[in-house]
Amino acid sequence: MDKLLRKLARSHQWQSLYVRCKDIGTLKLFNNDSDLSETQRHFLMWLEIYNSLYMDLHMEEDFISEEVIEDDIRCEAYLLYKSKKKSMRKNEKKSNRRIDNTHGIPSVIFKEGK
Amino acid sequence: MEEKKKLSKKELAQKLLKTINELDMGNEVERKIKDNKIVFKVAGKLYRVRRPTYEEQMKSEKFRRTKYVELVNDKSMLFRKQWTAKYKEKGIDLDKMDVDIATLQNKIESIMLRLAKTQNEKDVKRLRDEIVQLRTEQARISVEKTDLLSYSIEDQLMIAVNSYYAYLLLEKPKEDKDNEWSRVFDKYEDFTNSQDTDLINKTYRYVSDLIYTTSI
Repeated sequence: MDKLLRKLARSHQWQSLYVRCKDIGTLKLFNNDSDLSETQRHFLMWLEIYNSLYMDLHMEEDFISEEVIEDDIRCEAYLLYKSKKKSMRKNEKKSNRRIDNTHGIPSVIFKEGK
Repeated sequence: MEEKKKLSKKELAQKLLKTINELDMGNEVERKIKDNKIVFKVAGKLYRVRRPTYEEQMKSEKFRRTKYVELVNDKSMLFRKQWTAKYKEKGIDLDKMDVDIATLQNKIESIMLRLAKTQNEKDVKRLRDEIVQLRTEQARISVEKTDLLSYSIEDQLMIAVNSYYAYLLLEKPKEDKDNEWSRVFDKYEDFTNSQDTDLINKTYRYVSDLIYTTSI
């Protein structure tokens, strides 16, 4: 089931419908407007994931290719690599923030004297 | 030569059948995604399952509460935690199974990070195979654990509620009216006593696809 959902989600037909729905906002993906089933939520998640993968491919990011997108395991591997890279960057930013921007020394907290 | 030709024809037929099955399943999934209703045939008769209404959800909640009290009051029934303790006494460690699953997951992720960065065909195949093997082992442990806990109050309650949903949501077309559907079984007991295993099994599967994530 998940395999089929993913195959549909990465298909040209559903990807272009999804992109148009995001851009225009009036097109409908499903016949029902509310009360989405878990399958529909899951499908939306995969539509978004594959949409971001096609964007990465378009931006010529490292390690992404059509073959990776078509292969479920390689695709998961790429997603894991991407999320690890993102959290590493986040951590780097956090540690850089603790250093004074101009002098490269840790920030000092000044307290009022007695 | 003739043998080889026959074999390849057979293989071709199998391949074609597989493709047709995949297409059928793909169409079925696509229909399910679009309108939250699954129409299917059993022995030439048409049936469907759909999402529950608010009223049906309330009915199911009431059924769940009643069933839960019944199971808790049944002295032969145990919670998952109690089963886990019982199995431990007999030398089966379910908590260790969780640790083993997590350890395998860590291994899978470390291989995945290597797989993500390689383009070499041989390495891709080798790493993919390793992942498939570890996932199979993970699934084996998980199935073993699920089997061991299948008589727990939690699991039995889930089966009962799923079956109640299946009874509520299984419909057939009304004979005299177009596009109108009515419930197949008048009473829950009729559903549970039904001998039509093909219909019941298909209904279970489709209902759980609509209500939960899944069989995914």
